[in-house]
Amino acid sequence: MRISRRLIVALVALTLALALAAPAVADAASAGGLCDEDTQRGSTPSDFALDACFDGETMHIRNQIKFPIAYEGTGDVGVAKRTSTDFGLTAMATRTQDEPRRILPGDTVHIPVGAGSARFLLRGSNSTTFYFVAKVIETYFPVPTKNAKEFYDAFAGMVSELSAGFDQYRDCLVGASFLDQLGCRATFLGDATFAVSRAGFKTISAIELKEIAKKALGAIIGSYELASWVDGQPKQVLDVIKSPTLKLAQLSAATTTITPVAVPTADAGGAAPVILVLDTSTSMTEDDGNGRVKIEGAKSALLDFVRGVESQTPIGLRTYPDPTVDNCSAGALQFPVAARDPGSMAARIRTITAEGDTPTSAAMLAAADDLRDGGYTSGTMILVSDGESNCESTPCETAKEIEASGITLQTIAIGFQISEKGQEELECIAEAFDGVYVDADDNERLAEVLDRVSRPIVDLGLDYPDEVTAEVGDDGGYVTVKATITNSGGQEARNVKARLRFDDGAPGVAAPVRALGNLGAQQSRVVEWRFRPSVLLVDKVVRFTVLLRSENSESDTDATGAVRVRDTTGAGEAGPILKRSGRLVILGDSYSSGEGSHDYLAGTDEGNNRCHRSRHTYLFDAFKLPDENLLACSGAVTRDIASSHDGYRIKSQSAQLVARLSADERIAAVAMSLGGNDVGFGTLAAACITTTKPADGCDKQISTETGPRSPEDFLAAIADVTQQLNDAYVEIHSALNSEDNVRRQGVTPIMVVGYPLVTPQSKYRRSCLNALTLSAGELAYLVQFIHTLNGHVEAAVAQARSQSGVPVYYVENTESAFQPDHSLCDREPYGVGPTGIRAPGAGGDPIRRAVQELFHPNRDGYKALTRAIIRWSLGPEAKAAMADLKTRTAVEDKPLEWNSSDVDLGQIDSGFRPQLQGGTSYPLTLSGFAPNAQVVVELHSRAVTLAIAQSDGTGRLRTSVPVPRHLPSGKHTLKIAGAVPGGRPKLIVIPVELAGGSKPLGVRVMLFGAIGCWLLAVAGLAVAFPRRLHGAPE
Amino acid sequence: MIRVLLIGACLGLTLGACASSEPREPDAQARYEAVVPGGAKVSVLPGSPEYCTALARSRPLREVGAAMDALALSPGSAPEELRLRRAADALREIGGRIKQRSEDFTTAATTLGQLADRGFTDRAAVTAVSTSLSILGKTVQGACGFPVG
Repeated sequence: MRISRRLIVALVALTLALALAAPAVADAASAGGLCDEDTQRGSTPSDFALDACFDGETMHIRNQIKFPIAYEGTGDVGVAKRTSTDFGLTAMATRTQDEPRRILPGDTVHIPVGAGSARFLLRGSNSTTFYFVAKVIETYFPVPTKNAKEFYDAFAGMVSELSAGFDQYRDCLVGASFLDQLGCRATFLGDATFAVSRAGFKTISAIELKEIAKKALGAIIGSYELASWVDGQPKQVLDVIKSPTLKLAQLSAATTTITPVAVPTADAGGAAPVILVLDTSTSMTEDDGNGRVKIEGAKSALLDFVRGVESQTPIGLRTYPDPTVDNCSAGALQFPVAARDPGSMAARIRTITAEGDTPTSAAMLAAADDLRDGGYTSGTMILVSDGESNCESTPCETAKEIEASGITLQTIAIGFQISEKGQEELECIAEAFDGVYVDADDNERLAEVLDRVSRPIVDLGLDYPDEVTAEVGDDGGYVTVKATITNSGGQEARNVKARLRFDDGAPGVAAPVRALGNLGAQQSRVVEWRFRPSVLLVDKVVRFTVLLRSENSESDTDATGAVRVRDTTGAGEAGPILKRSGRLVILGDSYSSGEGSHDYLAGTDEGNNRCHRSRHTYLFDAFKLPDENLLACSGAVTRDIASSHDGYRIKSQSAQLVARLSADERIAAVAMSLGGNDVGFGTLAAACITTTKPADGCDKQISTETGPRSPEDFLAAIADVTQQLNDAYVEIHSALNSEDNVRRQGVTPIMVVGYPLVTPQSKYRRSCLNALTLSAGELAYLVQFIHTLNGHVEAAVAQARSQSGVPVYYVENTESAFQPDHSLCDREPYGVGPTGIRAPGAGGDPIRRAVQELFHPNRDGYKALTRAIIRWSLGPEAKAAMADLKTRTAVEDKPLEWNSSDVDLGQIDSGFRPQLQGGTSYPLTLSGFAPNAQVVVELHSRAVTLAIAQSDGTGRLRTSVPVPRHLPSGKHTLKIAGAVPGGRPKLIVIPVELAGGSKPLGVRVMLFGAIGCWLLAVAGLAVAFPRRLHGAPE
Repeated sequence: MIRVLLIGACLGLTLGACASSEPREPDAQARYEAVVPGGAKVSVLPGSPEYCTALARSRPLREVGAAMDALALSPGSAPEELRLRRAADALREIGGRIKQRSEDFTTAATTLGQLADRGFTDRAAVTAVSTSLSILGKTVQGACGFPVG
């Protein structure tokens, strides 16, 4: 491990060294191929990381290294053009990521430079991780010839998730112990697995995608040490890349007023200069309406401004007019544009007086020159006036002239108790400079406005949808959060960064932090994030916060948003396996009958029938099923599929299924849950909640009707249900997929639903466990029990499908349908807890019902199960099931292939036990039944329904009874149940002996046991004495 | 007879070699291989409780990271599932030695077992194992003072 890691680090270091050394070596030739370098205005430093060349008008920068790099151009720079050489998958996908000034490897940008100064620097790209991840896995994803754009988007979405996973993984590792870090790794692996599987490449088949996903994931895992190292060491990498900056000197010939030597440039980290232009005409000596002279209020506001403005901001002050020269003169420069000096500036401000006219045009022209004299070609002009110009020239026209002269002025015009005409004039000036006009009614307002313009004020507005539909497998389901970031202050906001953060850490989003660079006064910028809430967030609200930070803002700004995630799960949105011709039938036990959701159907909540069938059960409502299609029964065990329910006097579920088919019902699919009662889950649940001391908990010992059992035994016994489940599925398949039925509507699938976990899985409040009377150990045991049970159910499904040819499929996602936010310990539980059992005064029927309902889903729980099943139906497992279904045929025991016997089972002498052969069909003729009545033929003691027939109009029954091959050999009883005229039950019992059936389970186990022991013995000998067996030398 | 004795001696030597390949009882500054790439070393503070040493020395626990990688790549891989279950057993066993907060060990063990059963395609299992290991890490950190990454 240590050697491997060192090797990786060494390789990375070598790669980086080569990558970063390349430009230095190539420096001499950097101009070569890029342009003819004009060094009059500046040259590319030898340590500039990328190939760069300035030809006098355009800066050319080419990325010849192996990582994306971003550049920043400040000063007199125009809109860049780009030429690219790399059109591979990684490059194309990276281009879908929003980062305007990124230069991908092989790209060259051409940035026009005006006559002014300009400066370029390089920085790390936000897309580095994205690019790296994409590069690692791109070879596994061949770009299709059609729908390439769609493919790039899908690939980019996946890579975004993966790179976000990398970022989170790296963050997660910081300050964590090795145990924490294992947790981080699990999260990373889970996220990566889901990102790859969720990408939804339509152009790749499911099987190919699975293989690709495996390879891609392998590449990711194999390289994430590398990736985390590269990303984890940004300082070393970026310091090398960032350090040199490229400066271009001012072009002195073009601007004669500027001294070529002292050419101050707006430092990349510095602030834009401000020239204040204050109207000091006579009208400023008037009262502001609040008892204060306007000029005094203005001076006070200016003093505050000088004190409050950032120390790096160069400021100058011009007042107009200067009555000592002329009442319409351009005024006096009170202090030139220079670094802030509060003491001397304040002293100067205090000397200002007001007298004269309002020569706004002349003052603006002079202010522009003041800036130029300070060495600037751009800056902010704050113009404060209380009246319209009354000297010659039109200020609005003058503003346009200044704008056209090459100086760029951000202008904030403040109307101080100004007339309507004056306001129009200032508005026109502001518009000419593409600036803003602000009204100040009095001194207080003026101070407030000046305060705002003395600093950056970054505001944030969010635009996002209120809700989104969670999508599975297909496109859509994306939320776009649009943040409009506005600097409403008068100063440039430096190094603005916006970060999108989810309150609960989910879902992931690519590039959560966006670097916006500097945001000028009164400028706005829009940033968009796009994310796709997982279907696991259905019915939840995704809350997020956008945080804004800039280097020179007084405080951070944030705004919050919330998007509700809606479900897709209307029946109409279900996958094809649920939308086959016909209607669904629900079989099985209480988790299918609707136990726990109340409103039980008539006749199913009585003494002799507590099947507790409810229309609130899963799929029922969504698919508008008729009551007759709900055949599941609370308490049902595997035996009840093939035989009548012992206690409730109802027919076997397969018989009921056949009856539905006989009624010409077309069945689309069967959904069911089964096995839980066979393994005593009800007994376990009751045992867990009835013990109050941890020492007596169900994780220590379980009380059953036959005495205490150890939890280990209880768990181990689950394995026994596998064969019974297999038989039950075979039985349903036999009833469902007879040749007739298959001919009518093809092979009908059986979907077996995993049991949902109603308790919390891991995170819990102790107070909740106390309320459930569960210790942590009991909870862990219950969770383990459900996992184990579902595991065996899934295994039985697989066995029935592969070995018995049953078209049965396991719906696994129902197990976690209530997790993690709707367990019994959550605010909105989807299950029924023990509250009803402990209700004061509970007893009799209410308490019996509460016990029966314990740990079952409630109505919301069944809705959640519906959603889970529908989601499953849209996923790859259901698609594979549909493909598998096409390969299936009708049941093997086809009537036509059966042997026929002449022995009429209805004509056998009493006292004689006939021997029946498995795989043989026997005629049955009897009379004495009520006319047109249903007669059921069953074989006991392991009850199996053999036939359901109908007597004719005279009460005579003539049918055939097929005896399946898979029934155990030995003595059985044939029971023929119907009714005599008048309705009284008629039961005929015929003792029979079955030959040619299967060996009883016990015999099978003994046989396998014996063979297993023999094999083990041989293996043991081989292990113990290998050398002797192979005659090794001594 | 001589053959049997020789085989016995070889077996004894082999077992001895296996046993000696286990990390020794750590001294104050003892260090082990990093369990997690880019991450923290595994060593214990002098005088820390015995279970800290047991955690640090547990080979199954140190193999969890590699087992998770392999299981993510090959869902259903029996050897990797077994490695996770061994780690779960180790956690249960260590948790069984302490009186307080032993449920954090049990929970982490249970979730590792679930991960072995369900694999990385089960979001709930992944979240559970991640959370429980993190909780366990924080539970023992005060006493064990494991180095942090």
